Amino acid sequence: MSEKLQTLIIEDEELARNLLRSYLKDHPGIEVIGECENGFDGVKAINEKKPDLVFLDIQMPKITGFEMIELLDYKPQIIFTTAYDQYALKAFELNAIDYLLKPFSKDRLLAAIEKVQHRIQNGEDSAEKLEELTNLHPGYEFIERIVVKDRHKIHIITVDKIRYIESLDDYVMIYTTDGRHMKQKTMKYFENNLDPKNFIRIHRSYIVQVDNIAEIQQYEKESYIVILKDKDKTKLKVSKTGYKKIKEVLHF
Amino acid sequence: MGRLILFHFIAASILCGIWVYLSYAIYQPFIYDNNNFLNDGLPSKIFVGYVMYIIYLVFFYAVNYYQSLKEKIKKESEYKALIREAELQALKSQINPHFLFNSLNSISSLTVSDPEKAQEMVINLSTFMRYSLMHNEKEMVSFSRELENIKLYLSIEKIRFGKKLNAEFEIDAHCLEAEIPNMILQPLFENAIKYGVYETTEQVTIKTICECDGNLLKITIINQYDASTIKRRGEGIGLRNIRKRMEIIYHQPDLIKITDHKTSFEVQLVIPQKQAVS
Repeated sequence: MSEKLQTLIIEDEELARNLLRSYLKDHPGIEVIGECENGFDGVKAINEKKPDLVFLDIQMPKITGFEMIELLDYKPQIIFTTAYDQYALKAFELNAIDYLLKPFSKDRLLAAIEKVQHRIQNGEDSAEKLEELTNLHPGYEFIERIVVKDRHKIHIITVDKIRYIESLDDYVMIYTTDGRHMKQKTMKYFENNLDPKNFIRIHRSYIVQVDNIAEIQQYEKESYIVILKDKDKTKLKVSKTGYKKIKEVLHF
Repeated sequence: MGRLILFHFIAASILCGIWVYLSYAIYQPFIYDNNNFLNDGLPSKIFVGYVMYIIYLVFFYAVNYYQSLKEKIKKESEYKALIREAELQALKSQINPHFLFNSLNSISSLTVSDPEKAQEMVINLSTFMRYSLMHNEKEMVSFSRELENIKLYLSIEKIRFGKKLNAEFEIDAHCLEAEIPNMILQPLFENAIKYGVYETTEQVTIKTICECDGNLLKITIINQYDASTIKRRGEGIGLRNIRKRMEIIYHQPDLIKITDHKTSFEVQLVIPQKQAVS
């Protein structure tokens, strides 16, 4: 391969960055074009610099490596690095994604780079695999926050701020206490990963935060609407199964 | 039960027969009027025979019952101690693998750039691990010992996080002799780092205040956190385990108090002392 891989390091710990840099320093196929200390800078750098390869730490301040991938317009080849995260490892194995367990040897690193070079030569794209990775169930816990990007700004929505979620074909619109945000995810994903004690799928098109329900009204025989606790008194349709779920959660 | 009564009745009858016969056989040479002896004393003799059998029986059962009760009480207290032990064991914090592997990675990096510092970190990490292994043997340690260990833990994390982690201590010197369950503080600092330092890019101060008040040692740990990225859930597993462990050791609820000030998080531990610390 004649051209060097344009490589970005995204890692919050200085010592870990130093080590990666020293390992990569005299690699003939790699040119490190930048380093980022957190996920925010990472998203920006990837979208702007469009590197071929990114070393991405999973556990980082503000947003995690996984959350970062959801925000990328451009998806490079990624080698994940992590110290200990059993859920992540399972996800990597399932999707045949490259990862390095800290602390790792130079040999392990070189082998991982070789695999990436091989994939690039074969013209394999990473986008699909990464997409699958982000759609996986996060495992042991319900999600606590959602990361979204509007034009150039990244917002972190903690789940307690969500009023309701509406489905829009391939996207969802997330209505929060201070605005609304679009996100490319399925309703199914949110239905599975938000705590069902707090969020109910009341309709094919709506998931509602329980505390946000002001009242439930019957407007026809066997059909109901939910009225939310907000200025506009937003009204949302409730399906038959949705009504059953509301009854179960609210015990009436 | 019915069979048992029948059995005892038959046994009593046989023994009674033997007893009456024997007494008759023994007394016979000394008695002139055999008929009188038999006729006068027989019903009362038989009655006494049955009563004596019942007395023996009651005595036998009482001794038997007493012994099995003693055994049972002993077993029960052994069992309770075992459960307590197991509970305490389960509630004690284990070294977080995330902390361990990240520290090892820092060491790996330092071996290239600063071998001396790498060596220092290896030694600190070993000392810290040795202390945390020791807690299998001893339940209580002096506060100064526990504090030393915490400072060791923070110094290891400080190498990882650099300027981002800032630790401040306000310790009343005469608190140092107080007794404290070992490794009870470490999970609190681990939480402070996880939610405070790890989730933000700015510097975070973890402040530890310690005062003695008669028979109480009060330890307060305050850390800043970034409320925009995390939703504090109040009590996680770490805090819950500490609460349970304190309850088992001191038989008192509410020795741990948690306050969320929205930009900072405060945990206060109250540790009762056998003697007043002064």
